[in-house]
Amino acid sequence: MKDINGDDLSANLKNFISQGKEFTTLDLISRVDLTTLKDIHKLSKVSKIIKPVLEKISYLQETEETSIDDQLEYDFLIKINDYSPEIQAEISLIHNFIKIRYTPRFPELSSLITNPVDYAKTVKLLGNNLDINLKKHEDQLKSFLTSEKILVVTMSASLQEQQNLHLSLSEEELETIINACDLLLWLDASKTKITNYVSSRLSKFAPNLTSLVGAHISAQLMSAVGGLANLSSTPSCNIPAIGNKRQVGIGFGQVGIRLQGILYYHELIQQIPDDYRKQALRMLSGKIVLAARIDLSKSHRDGNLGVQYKDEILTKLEKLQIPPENNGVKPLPIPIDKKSKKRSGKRFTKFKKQFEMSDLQKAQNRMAFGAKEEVIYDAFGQEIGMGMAGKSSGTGVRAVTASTANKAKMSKSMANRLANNSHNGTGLIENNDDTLFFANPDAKQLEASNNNENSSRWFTDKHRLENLKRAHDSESDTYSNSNSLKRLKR
Amino acid sequence: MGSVFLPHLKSGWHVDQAILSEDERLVIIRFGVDWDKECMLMDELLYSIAEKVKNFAVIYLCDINQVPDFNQMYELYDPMTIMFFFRNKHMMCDFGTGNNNKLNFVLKDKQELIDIIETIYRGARKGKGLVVSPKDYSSIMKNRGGTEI
Repeated sequence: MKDINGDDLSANLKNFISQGKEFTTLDLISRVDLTTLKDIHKLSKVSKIIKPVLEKISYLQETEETSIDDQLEYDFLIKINDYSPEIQAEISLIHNFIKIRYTPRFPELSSLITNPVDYAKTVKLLGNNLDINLKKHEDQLKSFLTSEKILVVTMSASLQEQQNLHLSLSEEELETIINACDLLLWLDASKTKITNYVSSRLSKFAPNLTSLVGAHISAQLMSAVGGLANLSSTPSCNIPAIGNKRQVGIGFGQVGIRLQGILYYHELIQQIPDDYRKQALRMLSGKIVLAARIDLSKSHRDGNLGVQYKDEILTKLEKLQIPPENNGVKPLPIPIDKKSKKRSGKRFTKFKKQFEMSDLQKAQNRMAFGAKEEVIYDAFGQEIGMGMAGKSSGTGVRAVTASTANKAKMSKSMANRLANNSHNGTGLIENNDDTLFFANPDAKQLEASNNNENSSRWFTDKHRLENLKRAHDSESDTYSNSNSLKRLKR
Repeated sequence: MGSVFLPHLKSGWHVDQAILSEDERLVIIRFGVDWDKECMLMDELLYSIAEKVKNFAVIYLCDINQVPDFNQMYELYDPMTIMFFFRNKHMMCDFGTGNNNKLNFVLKDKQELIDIIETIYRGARKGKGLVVSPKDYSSIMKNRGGTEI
């Protein structure tokens, strides 16, 4: 790797910027050789920006609230909220730098203390003399490390001293490292300051939104869409897409949730199982827009609605995750035949009467004693016994009469319709006698009675038979109907 | 798997007790052997409906090799036979197969089996000894020994 001193670095950076690319701290990490770098301050991009910001924050915190322009402070809030990821990236850069430089003195420390801030604090305290400084600064160490951690560090430090394998760092080198530690701690402190300030102030501008999703994410969302007013007019389905950096090439599949924007990294979404994340995202984004609208209208300044929304979402998600109840199979009811509750009544009796056997049919099924049964033949030459319904068996008063209950019926409205049709001349086929009869059953009945008394006695719908062009005389007509009934019964 | 979950009757005494002890429900006993193909199919079907019909029928399995006491009396010569009992009375059912004493063919439909059980239960409650199956199974018997249509 090329040795980069301060001048080379700035030249390198200038070259890098002149390519027209926006460079971030992460780019720097990959491009700069930390082992040979002399002064980490030169790399720090954020420290220059932060200084005025911190001054302004302390100025704003000191001055009276009423004297500050709301809009200006709001814009400022949104702007500085964006610095915190930058600061975080730079902290990890400096952490790397310290690790690389300090490892020759105490190799195991970086694996024992992984937190950048704690690591920097410890390195600053230990310096070159591990054992002596450990005892000297034990109280200070206790303030940010657990006693178990301290024990482990002490053990490995004394081991390190005994083995004498380490090389002591030069004064110059140690100063560089301590400078870097200071810078890291300062950056961390300013990050906390900014975050605290943003959350304290943002809860004044958007109390409900802040209590729903927290100050950091609310500020991020607002800065992405350009303010509270814009956020309140954003459709809730667009909220998860805000800040989505995931690139999915056309034709490539994707796994998991498509839109991993700012909201995706909210702790509520992160701690929920993957299966419910989409639903949680939807719920949360819906409520975010509502909360933004409430804040815009300047009602509920104490943020209680935001808290209420959050509770709602949490309970809903909890309910969603409850496994379905395991209800066993529902057994079938015992198949017991119950007696019909329907007994009788005028109407029902009349209805049942329609399906009764007529007296004539009954007579046909009976045989006269000692008399020869009358027999007729149907169209197919089949013999049909007439029983007691024969011509000779009953005459005069004792003659069997046909019942009228099971006669073919026509509803009143149908009869009226047909009658109307025939009167208006819009009837079916007026020249056809049968149709006329059909249209006016009374006329048909009259005709039938003229034809034969016997037939008219019980059977009135002769027209059907006429349609069939049966070459029967009136008497055999009478029985062909009872015939078909009998066949049905078989 | 059905045969694992359904209760087995281990001896002739057990079979008798199972039939005698039940007063309100139909006792259905599958005679056969667990490893037989037909029995396996039928056990699966029986197990799947056992919970549904538990209000009016109870299902047992009986190994005809382990309990040979009834083989002659009930003519248990088929690989799989199902018999129905109600209040210590053998219930007959006309399946159209010619054998009214037992069900000795494999059904495929749960609902058909439930319908048969319900019909037998109804008849039994009315004191009938023989009922007619809601569906005619004569075509199944026609193909006995070959593949079923």
